[in-house]
Amino acid sequence: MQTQIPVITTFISGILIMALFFIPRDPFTQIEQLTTRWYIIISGFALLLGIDSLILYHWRKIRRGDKDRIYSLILIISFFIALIWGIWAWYKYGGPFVQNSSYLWLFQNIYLPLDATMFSLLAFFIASAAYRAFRARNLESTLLLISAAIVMMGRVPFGGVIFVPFFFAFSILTGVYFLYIATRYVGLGSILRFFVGLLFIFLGISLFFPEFSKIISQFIPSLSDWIMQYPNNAGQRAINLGLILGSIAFSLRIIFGIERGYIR
Amino acid sequence: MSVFFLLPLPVESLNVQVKENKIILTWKAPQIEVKKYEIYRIDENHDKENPLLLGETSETKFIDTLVKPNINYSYLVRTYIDDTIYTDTDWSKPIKISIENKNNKPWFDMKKLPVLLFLIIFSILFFYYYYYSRMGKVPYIRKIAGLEAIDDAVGRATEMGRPIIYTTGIGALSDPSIIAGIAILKYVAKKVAGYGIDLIVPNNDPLIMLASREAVKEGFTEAGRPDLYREENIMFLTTEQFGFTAGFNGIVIREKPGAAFYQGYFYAESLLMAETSYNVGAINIAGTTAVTQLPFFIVSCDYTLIGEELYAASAYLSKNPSEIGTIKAEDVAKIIIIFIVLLGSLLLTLSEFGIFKNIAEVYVNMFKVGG
Repeated sequence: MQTQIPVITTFISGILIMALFFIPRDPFTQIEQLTTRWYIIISGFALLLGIDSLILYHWRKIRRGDKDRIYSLILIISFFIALIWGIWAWYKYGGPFVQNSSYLWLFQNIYLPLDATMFSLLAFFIASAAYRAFRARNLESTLLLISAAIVMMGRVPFGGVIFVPFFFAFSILTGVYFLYIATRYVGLGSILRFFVGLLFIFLGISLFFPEFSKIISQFIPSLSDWIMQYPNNAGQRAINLGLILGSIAFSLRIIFGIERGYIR
Repeated sequence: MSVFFLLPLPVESLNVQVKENKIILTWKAPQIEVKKYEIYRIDENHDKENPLLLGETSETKFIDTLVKPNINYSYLVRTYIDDTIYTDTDWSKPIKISIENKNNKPWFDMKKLPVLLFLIIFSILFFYYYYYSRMGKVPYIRKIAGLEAIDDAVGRATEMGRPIIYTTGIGALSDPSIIAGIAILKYVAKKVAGYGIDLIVPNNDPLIMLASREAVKEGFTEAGRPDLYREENIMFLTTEQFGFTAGFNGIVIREKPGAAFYQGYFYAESLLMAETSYNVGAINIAGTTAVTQLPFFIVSCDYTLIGEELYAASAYLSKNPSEIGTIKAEDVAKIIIIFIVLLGSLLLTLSEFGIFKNIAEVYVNMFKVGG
């Protein structure tokens, strides 16, 4: 009985919600609004349990005399300040977020800068993660490095300008590398590498011709767009396709009680 | 000096349309760089002297959703090229939305017919493979590295004497990826209980917190160690995205977990959290259906469940033949879709040369959803 009731409830609600998607008339549209309202009401009450959990967790840490109890104390004090201030602003101004409300000042001058600070840390984390990801350890990561460099240069306003010296350095270094390894081979292998090396050096030198460097600088934004529009888009769509099928199969497993991991 | 020449021309062709219970405004941008547009409205409570400022936008479209039936609305778009320099359009002709009688609508939305047909075909495949597996013919499922690594990660954390941290990310309990995350949590809890280490589960939604508590409690009970279950370790932090991130990272830095699990739905906080746990030396195992966050997890985590692998995870971990069988239905559906896409590409390519033009048109329209 303990498992049957949740399975039956899940089945009925699952089928009903599925039907709501296809039937655009009353009473089905009303049921949709009603269930949304129920969810909001339940969430509202659950928030009280959340607050209870938060306060108790930090209160226990203070009582136990944990090493980092100062943070718990700050949290509890901040929580009650915000709560009391909000209720007071609601009483005095008719709402905490109305114009001229002092609570709005608290929100705009304390909460929003803290929120923005957290978000801005992302730039540093991206740099450290990119450093690890873009190391050319194998073919896949080398391809990732090259395509990421092209997309980055194509997306920044002066990417086309940077790309010319970058491409010059890349061509010359690659050319020198091929000329160097040509000396290690004999016969056709050596001749091939020698000519590939010469080709890269020629490409690098040709950038001194303004017409050619102009073509190269204009080429990079369109190459960047091409990478985003085709290979990247195709990959994303493939993942999305799998996701949609996966979510339908997962939902069917739950609706028909095949998967009961959440109630067992 | 006159500012006359600096004034932008008012936007052209202000078009006001009613669509269902919204009023949609569209216009053409003037031939000058515009800083922003402000949209004003007059209605029963506002007149031309005191119009209502609905909002501002930098696009050439605005949707007014704050409308009531049978009230006349008139709109004006103010174009700014600077903070102080602007021009106005004329007020649009009054427009109103009429009360919609929902019972005049049909019993079935024909625009969604392709969706229903696909759902029926997929359900047939789903139940076919479900019963096929129940008869003992369990299909082969390749090994999923991220799920195989769970046991190693829990073992490593035990050896290091460190706790394990688990999050389902930011989302609602109605999100299937969160439910999938909770199912994996139960498996992790079962493993953790066997080793007797701490499992910390910070949540950003109180409902998810309650579901997580139940899952962890069940996991510990099934492992035969209900005494090790500590309710206070599955706590609520905040519903705010970066507040939650800060709280989660704080716990990671203080507790230094041996393994960190990110299984659910994530937004911009994904990299902030995964990099922090990487920096404290935790094994990171992620799984998300948020396509935009997958690259971040791939670069910062040791193992990542990509998209549908997260949904398949609970079936995979349960080792239940009938659950595993249903995964096979997804693969067959994928083959069908690939065939449809290839056939469509071929027909459209040929139609460019005037071959099968009508067939290509009918074929494309067949799969259009929503008209």
